[in-house]
Amino acid sequence: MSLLEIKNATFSYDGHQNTFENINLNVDVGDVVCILGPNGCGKTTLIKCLNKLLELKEGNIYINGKDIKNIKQREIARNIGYIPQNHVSTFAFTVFDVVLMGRTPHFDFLESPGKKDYQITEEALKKFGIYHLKDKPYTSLSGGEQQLVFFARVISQQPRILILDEPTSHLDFGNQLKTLDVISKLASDGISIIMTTHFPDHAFISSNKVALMKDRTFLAIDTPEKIITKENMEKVYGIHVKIVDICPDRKSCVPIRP
Amino acid sequence: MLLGIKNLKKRLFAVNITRNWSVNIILISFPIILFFMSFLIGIYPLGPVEVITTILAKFFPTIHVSSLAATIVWNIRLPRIMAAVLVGAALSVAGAAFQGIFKNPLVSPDILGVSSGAGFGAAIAILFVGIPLITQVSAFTWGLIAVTITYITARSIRNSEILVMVLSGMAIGAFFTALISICKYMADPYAKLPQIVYWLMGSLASVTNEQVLIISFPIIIGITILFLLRWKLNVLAMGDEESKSLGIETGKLRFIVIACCTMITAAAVSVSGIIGWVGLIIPHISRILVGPDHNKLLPATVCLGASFLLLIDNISRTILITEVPIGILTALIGVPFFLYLLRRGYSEWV
Amino acid sequence: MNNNYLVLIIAIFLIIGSGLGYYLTENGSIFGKGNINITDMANRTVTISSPVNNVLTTDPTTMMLVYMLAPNKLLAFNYQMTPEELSFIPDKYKNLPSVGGWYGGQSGSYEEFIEMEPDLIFESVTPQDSATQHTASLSVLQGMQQKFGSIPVVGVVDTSNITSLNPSILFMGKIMGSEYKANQLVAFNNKVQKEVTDVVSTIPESQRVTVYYAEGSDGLQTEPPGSVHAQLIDFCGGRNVADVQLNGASGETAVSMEQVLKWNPEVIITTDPTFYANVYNNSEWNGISAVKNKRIYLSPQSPFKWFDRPTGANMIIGIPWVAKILYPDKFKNLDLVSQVKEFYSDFYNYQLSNNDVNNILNNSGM
Repeated sequence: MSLLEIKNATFSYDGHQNTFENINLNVDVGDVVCILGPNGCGKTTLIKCLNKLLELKEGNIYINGKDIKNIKQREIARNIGYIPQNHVSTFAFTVFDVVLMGRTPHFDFLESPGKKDYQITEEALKKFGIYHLKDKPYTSLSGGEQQLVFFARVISQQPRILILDEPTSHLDFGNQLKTLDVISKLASDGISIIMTTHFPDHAFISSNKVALMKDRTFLAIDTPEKIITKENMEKVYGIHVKIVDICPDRKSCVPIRP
Repeated sequence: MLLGIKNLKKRLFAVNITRNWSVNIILISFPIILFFMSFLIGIYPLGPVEVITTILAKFFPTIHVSSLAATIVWNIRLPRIMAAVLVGAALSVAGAAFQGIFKNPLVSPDILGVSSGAGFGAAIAILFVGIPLITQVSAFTWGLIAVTITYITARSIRNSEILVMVLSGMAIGAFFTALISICKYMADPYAKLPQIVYWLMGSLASVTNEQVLIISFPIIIGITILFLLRWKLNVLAMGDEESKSLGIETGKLRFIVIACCTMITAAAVSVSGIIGWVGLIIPHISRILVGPDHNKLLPATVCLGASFLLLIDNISRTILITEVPIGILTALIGVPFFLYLLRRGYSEWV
Repeated sequence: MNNNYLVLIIAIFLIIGSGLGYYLTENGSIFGKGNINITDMANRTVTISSPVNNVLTTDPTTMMLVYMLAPNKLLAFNYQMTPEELSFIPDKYKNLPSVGGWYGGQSGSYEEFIEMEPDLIFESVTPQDSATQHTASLSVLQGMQQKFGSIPVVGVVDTSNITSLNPSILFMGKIMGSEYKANQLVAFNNKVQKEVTDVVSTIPESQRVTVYYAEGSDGLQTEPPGSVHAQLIDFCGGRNVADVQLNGASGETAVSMEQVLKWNPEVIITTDPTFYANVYNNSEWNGISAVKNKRIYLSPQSPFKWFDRPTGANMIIGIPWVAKILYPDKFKNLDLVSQVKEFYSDFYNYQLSNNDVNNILNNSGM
């Protein structure tokens, strides 16, 4: 049984026009799934349906075999962590407070964090090397550091699956790769990852499964080598690329002029 | 001494002040000291010894004390002081909670229309009945009704959109304000109209112990519930999507918070009339002092709100012979202070 | 850190504490010094000291009665008097402080009142027309009494109707030990009322003079027949032309210039000096009969107006004045000058010379 199963999922914002339809995907332990697709193909919407931020029009999503329609938000949160694409900050919480929030699905309606929760928070901070920032307001951090804070929060949540919406979009070149490193490390710790991205090259770096999305549905799901081909990139993005072998296990997708 | 103050100021405005013990000590001791000192303040001259004797006389009936002193302490000063503390704390906590759940530091407890509803309730009670207790109950009830209408309207338009709720609140508030104007228009300008206007301006002058007792229940209960929810409020203040992804039923939590805040604000307004600014600036000041973590923010807000209103009420009943409605004073004093804080540290603001 | 249980315990403690605290502070009746029991006009039994030497009032109507019946016992006024209003107040009362009160919307300072140490405080009570009003009055009185503690609060009915003033006058006179003066005032009231009704009752409807009561500085607010504020017009046999709706209990009803022109009153009475000063120069009013015949009259203002606002014992002297204005021929034998002198000397504590009286009457337009 897969960790996460999407069966014939269809979604519509207004009831008439479908944002995506007939989506099928299985995610197993240790998978790092990349959903590739152009702007507006429905990637972000699909992601948001996975943890019930939005509700499907048709189809089902199963976590450990249970239909998410029947699970409460809390239980979903115990299994799935989410880092959104954009974060609008209003209040200057300290880094520690932000990461502590990740423990929320594990306390009761009135309960507060206990010693265990504080410990897990501290470990999460140390794991990402930001423990020294714990008393700083998270709004005063750089983009890259803030990203790490959100990663730490999602880790303290101790989920089985992590959903990332374009995790590298706002980062500089160096931070992009550092993030991909983090993602690989998390996968090797046993957390399955589903992420959307605009960079096919990143799929080569970090994932073992790629889903190609266009015209509101998945065109194909397979390993990065099989999906990221000259023909597919042309079909999906309308541009010319060359797939290059750099080292034995590192391919690269490079855009070129025709 | 000046150096000490400068140091304190620097510490008060430091960015990194989460575990600042001196701030905590001040926050707790100031209201307590102010509370006891307020009994000594007033037009009728009562020395500290007399006040203490009066208080002791309650417990040891053999101690003799002038009945006028007893009246002043128990029937005039006590209800006012208690009311100032309760109303100040109530409005401030409600403001802080609303700012969190609406993710907007410019929000005040009136945003969903509770004050306008309460004002309308008071106006019709004054117009048709005239018994102070009925006015209080009517104000409380209509405050709740106004917010209920806002909530239901917002949900029927677009479920779970904060902006829709805020706009509905503005609309319903405006509607009730118009109804208040009708009442004013119908009221006789020599007796009822001034009563209505005076109530709307906010005053603690005629508060009785009975009224204080009645409002203490909803206020204490409401503040307690909000405090018990403090961790969830932190998460909600990060945004709806992230809250849901962390397992919070945002609709349900928001409903509970709105219900508590409305109950608190309606109770406060029913006894004091409409007092503005307290719910808006006290949470800001608290946030500057202790940060946005509701764990510290809520208690700090209670202390600051209670002290602020108590201080202003003390001023109102000593500086002038006839009473100036307290709603006027909170704005006159609050606004310059607010602008000063704004100027001082906009970037350290939130 | 589970503070939650601590918080719950504190909350419960606070709630129980409030209940207990309230129970402790509630004193029941706190009537301290007192020798005799009286029943006030709201049917409360109140213990007051005897004799009563110092009195405070909570609003202008009761203040006025104390001033008329026992001025030396009045500790303060309820509002700041204007210089014009002070002109006919004798020097020894001119400097009485003003402490505000509880009328209209404002709130006086309880501590200020207590500090002056009055023997009792008079509070106006509306006439008990209905059960709701009675409960409302009682609750207000009880609230006041709680604040004043051992200083008795005595309710006095404020009827606003000159035909039912007498009981309040007699009551207050009895309380303050000024029965003689109170009887005098009642007798004067009865005398002028009888003098006027005797004559007015013989005037047929068709011969009644039309009157407009001009309120406000532009004169375009008024009161309809039946309003307590224009009651002197009705009482003295005039016909109030204002065919408008009564605005609330005593709300000035706005009217337009056209309506006034249509009504074309023979007499205009006003209490507003600004209106009176400008009306003869105002071309809009030129066409009105009262303006053409110079029959516009301004109520004297000091120490209290004669015609309206307040609607109390001050209107007693207004009765013969309005009668003479409306029907100068029928009341040729009414000696207004000596009545004014008598009223001012007996009740307003001020000796007016014949000259003073003539000035007052001339300035009013007669």
